[in-house]
Formats: sequence, C-alpha cells, structure tokens
Amino acid sequence: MKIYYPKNTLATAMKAAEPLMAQTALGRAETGLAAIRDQCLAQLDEMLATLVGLASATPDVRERLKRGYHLSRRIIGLGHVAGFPHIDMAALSLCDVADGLIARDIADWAPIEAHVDAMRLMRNPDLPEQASKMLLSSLDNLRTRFGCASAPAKA
Amino acid sequence: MSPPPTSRALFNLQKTNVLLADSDAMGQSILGQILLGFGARNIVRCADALEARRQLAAQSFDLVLIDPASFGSEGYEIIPWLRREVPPPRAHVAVLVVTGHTEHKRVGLVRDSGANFIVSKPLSAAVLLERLLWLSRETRPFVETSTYAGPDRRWRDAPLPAGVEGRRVKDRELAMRISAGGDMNQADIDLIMTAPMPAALAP
Repeated sequence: MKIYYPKNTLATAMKAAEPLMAQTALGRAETGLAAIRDQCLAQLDEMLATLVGLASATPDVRERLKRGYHLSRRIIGLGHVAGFPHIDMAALSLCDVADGLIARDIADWAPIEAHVDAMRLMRNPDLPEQASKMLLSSLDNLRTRFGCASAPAKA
Repeated sequence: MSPPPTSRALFNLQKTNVLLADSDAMGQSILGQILLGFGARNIVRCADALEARRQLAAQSFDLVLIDPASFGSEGYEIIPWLRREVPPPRAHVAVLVVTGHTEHKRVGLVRDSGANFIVSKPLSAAVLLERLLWLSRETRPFVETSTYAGPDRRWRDAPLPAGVEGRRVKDRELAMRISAGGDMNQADIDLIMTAPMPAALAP
C-alpha cells in the first residue's frame, strides 16, 4: 500500500483571487440559475411529455422501465431550478422504484404510471403545497414497496 | 430563514481550473451557472466520457465535477482511471461526484471510485458551496492499493473492531488510547493520591 500527501491545489486556487463573500457568491449563483429557469421548465415539460408517451411507446415493459429510469434521472435537478422542487423528489422516487423493479426483474408499469401522474399534477403551479406533499407521501409508499431498498441483492 | 453557516466564508473560484463533466446539457448548465456565480472563469465542459478523459490527461485541473452515471457504464471508469493512470499531481485533483440517482448495482462502484465526495442532485448553490469549502480544507492522505486509489476512505480516528489488527502505526497508537474499562472520576484519582502507601512498599 502506498500513501501520499498531495498538495491541495483547490485550496491554493481558491485563495489566489480577490476574496468573494460567500453570501455574494450565492446571490450571483441564484441570479444565474434564475436566468435559465425558462429553459429548465421547457426541458422539464418535454421530458414529462416523453415519460407520459412511454406507456404507449413500446409493449416491452422492461424496456419501458429502463427508458423511464434514464429519463427520470435527467429530470432530477430541473424541478428545483424551474420552481417545482417536488417534481425532483417524485423523479428520484421513480428512479428508485424503476431500479428496484429492474433489479428484481418485475415487469410492472403501474407504480411508474402512478409516479408520472403525480408529477403531472405537481407541474400545476396552482397545486397547493400540501397537495404536493400528500402526493409525495403516497409515492413514498410505492418506493418502500418496490424501491431498491427492498430489493434483494442480485446473485 | 437564517443564512447558512458558510455565508460569511471568503473564497473565489476565479483562478480555479474546473472540469465539468456531465452528458446532460441542462445538468451541465445548472452546475455551470452556480460555478460562474462563485467566480469560476476557467471551466472546461465535457459532454462525453472520452472527451473528459482527454481533458484530464492533457491539462491540470484544481477541481473536477462529474456525474458518472450520465455517461452510462463508461462514466464509472473515469475516476479510477484518473487516479491510477494519470501521472501525479494531476491524478490527485479534488473530485466531486454530483449525481441524481445511482443504480443499486453501481453504488459500490461510485463509493470505491476514488472521488473525494459524493453529492446528490437536486443540488442547491449553498450545498455545493459547502462541499467546495470542505474540499478546500481536505487533508486526507491518498491511498493506493491493488483495489483502490483515492483519498483515504476512513474519515474518523475510530478504533478498529475487536480482534482486528490495524496495519498502520496510527492504528496501534489509537488502540493504546482506548481505556479497557470506564474512566475514573476525580474522586477516585484523589483517593489514590492521598491513600497511605502499603507498608510493604514504604521506603
């Protein structure tokens, strides 16, 4: 075993420029994120539409689960910037459920469909916060039942 | 809401060379905006795994932000390759894995990839800042074994499990520091110091 004590070049680089107050930096970052909000929203809508279309895209449920997983993975993070943070949580839950179903080789689209429906509802800007939380709570039940945490290790 | 504890920290990424590797354009854009807000000007963006490797081999970076899962299976090979194949000091660059969801079967791959830290999306600017400040204070040594190359995965100087013999000098020092029973209180210590010496030991 070899052990090295490398120089932390990130620390050096971060101190090399004129210091910036973290609060100022965070404010600038938020302004930058606000500037791409509409792009994020457009992509979110496009991906949600593709997710909805997956149900009729192919009869092969296992293939749908894979595609749904990858699409949903890309959604995580968009909702936060677009102003729909609950959608991110639902997308994360969808990934967990799809991953669990794939790991156990279960061809069941129903729990995914429930997630997609919930995400569409959450996309409504007039939906009360409490309703979004209730939807997430329902998705949590599906996650507990089908998600990877409950999946046995693959042989 | 009170400001995060990091809000008074002073830093600037203006002179920091950053590699941002994410195959998803929007994911890259979100991280890019946060980094720009933090002052970063030298950001190399890569949308495919091969290009990320090419950049890592060609130039020195101070920070790498990567979503390995976005590149599919080859994405998980980038960090181990960097740690083993790229000559130091480039191989020792700070690597932050930013990921939305990791497939159950690949969790071990990410954990043992050699990254300094793993953060989950959705990622707020405050969380990223906190992690960057943490990385800038990183003092863990780099370990290279036949199965792992990267920062020492042991975070705390915790004692080894019973019956396990440590391989490092530090492990033995730690073992000596662990008391066999409960610690004595001051009254017990005072009693020992003031108790008369047994006759057999008296001078």
